[in-house]
Amino acid sequence: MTDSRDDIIDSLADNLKPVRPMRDSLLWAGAAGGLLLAVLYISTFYGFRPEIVNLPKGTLPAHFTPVGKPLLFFGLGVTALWTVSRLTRPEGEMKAIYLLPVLAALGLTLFNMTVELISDGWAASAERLNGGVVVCFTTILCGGMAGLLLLWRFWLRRSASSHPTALAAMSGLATASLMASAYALHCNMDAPVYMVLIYGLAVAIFTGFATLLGRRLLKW
Amino acid sequence: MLSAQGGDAKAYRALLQSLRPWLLSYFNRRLRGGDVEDLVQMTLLSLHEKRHTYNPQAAFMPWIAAVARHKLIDYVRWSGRRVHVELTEDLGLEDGLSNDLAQRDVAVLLAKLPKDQAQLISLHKLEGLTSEEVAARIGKNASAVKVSIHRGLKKLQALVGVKSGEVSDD
Repeated sequence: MTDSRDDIIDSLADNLKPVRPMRDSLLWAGAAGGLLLAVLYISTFYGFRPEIVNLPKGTLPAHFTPVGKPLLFFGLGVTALWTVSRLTRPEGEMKAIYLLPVLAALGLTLFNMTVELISDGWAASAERLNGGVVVCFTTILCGGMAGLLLLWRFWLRRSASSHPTALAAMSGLATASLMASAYALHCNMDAPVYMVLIYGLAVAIFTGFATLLGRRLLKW
Repeated sequence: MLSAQGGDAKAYRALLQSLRPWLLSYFNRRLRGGDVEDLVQMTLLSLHEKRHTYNPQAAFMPWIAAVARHKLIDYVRWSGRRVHVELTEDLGLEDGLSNDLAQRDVAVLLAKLPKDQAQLISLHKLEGLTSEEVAARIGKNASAVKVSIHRGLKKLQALVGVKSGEVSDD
């Protein structure tokens, strides 16, 4: 009588095909390519804001925000992507330190918004929400979705995470943040309240959507 | 596993056969009274489907232990049965380990340490020399050797995801 356990080993060994191991360098190269496409899209269809256009000419902006805003979301996207690379494999562990950049970015923007609200009041701050809200929201959501689809096609569907929900959340956060950083090269709405309620909300909504979607799709 | 990723069926069969007793022991120790055979087969299938997630530059045991643990949690959730499960984070070292796999993992892990530190650990842990004998062999202070070995072992524990204190220096 043949042992069924031997059967499965024989079957697996007989049907063995070579596989390409997942390499983090491919994830980073793909993300860099995706971000470049996003920047090209923003530059072609929306145009960069004047402070960014003048940067290569050596003219520094009067305030840090035109540069700091894209950098903030870029940093958030890169650290979220780094977490994705840590969580992709079964042995990857979810650590509290992975959430620190998110908390730092959130803390910084919330602090600035609070200072703005205290000094200017809600009425003045609300006026700074007028302009480009729909474009900002749709660009981050649609661009984030395009990035997430690419990430799924070339990386996530091959993953085997012990923390699929966290992996999904971080994937959504990474693609939405990187798209937000590209859009911030165009957007001249620098008020902290705008960054929290428009950028932050769009990124948060997309992260939530990716979490709900991914926790099912990333099961294995 | 490296050969298996390259399509070497013979090496793959040998790997699966050497893993089976370890998996049986791993699940038996944690799932008292469950369908251990089913779990072993499910784990072997998962190993096959997800073999591309193994990083060739990393140790193998943390990877397979994580796959087995994931399947165990999945099984308990799916079965909905009240079974006794010990979800320890250990690597299943008590469940027996094939010498080939253990030797390969040790070599991979030691390669991640500075050369001098790896040599100290190798002399102390693999060749069985005392700290004083290691110190005499390489011409260093015994205390410095002890500290270096201790720190090296901590680094190794961190590399395989074992929390500090779970494995003693001895």
